[in-house]
Amino acid sequence: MNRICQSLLRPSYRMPAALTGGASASATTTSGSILCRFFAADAATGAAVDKATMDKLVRTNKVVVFMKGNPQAPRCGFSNAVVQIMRMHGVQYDAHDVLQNESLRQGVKDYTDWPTIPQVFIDGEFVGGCDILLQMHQSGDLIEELKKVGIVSELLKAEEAKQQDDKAK
Amino acid sequence: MLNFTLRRLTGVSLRNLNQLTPTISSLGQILPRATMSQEAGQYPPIESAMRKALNTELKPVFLEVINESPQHNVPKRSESHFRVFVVSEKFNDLTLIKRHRLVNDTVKNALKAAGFEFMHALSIEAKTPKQWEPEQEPEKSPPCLGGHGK
Repeated sequence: MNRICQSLLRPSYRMPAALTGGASASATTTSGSILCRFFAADAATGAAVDKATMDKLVRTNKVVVFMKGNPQAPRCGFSNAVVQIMRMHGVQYDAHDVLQNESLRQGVKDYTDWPTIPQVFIDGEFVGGCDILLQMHQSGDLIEELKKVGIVSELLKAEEAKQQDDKAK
Repeated sequence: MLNFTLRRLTGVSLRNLNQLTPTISSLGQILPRATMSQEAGQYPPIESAMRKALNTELKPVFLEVINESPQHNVPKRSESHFRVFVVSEKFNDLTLIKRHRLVNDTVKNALKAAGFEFMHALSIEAKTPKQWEPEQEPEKSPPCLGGHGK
């Protein structure tokens, strides 16, 4: 019921244009200068999404996030925290709303053998959930991990710009 | 047909109820920050199973289990959202993700043995004794955004 209400309230979820084997529909949105795509499917209730499909899904972008809600309107505090961290680093990523798709919700949990959402993938590798992302953000490891896949964090850019400024003075 | 649907519905709601409404109110609810030296029996069933398993498996130097369910959109006295702060020698040489897997698996096995499903949310801070200072408080969880999707 809840799910039906959500989809009624947010018709933007249900955009056509299939991307991966009909499992997901995609919508592209801009938030500031950051382009992040989010995917939401019909509220499918079939079997969990299989491993082969998950293998593809986690590689549709360098960073892929499975979350509750979408980046513009996260539906869970932990998912929201991940969105905010990504925003701070200026990361472009693909987001999948598991509340819209029970098969995906179970599929991603089975795939990673990880019991909770959100789940973050960098370069197809499972990195962790909200707690791990937050700790990586705090320790600076996230900047390093992003660098490995060719993403320069906005925080790093800001830091470098500041250092240049200081030198110039 | 109707009968079948009804039975299915009851089955589902019973299972969910099990997770959401524990049978006893206890000290653990009133004082979620009670120390770990207390008897496990003083905590509600899921929390009690978690504490017991974490103490046995991880031999923690420090363990704090906080039931954060009251901050969320769930019935009173639920045991759905937890935060675990655990300091253990067992985390030495383990990456962050392996530490979290160790905690997740310990909790998962304990709950399975006690006949519960995995809780809705489990937030983990896993530190080695070297990384821990006794005055350190666990992080606070972000506020609920109402997305209890089940």
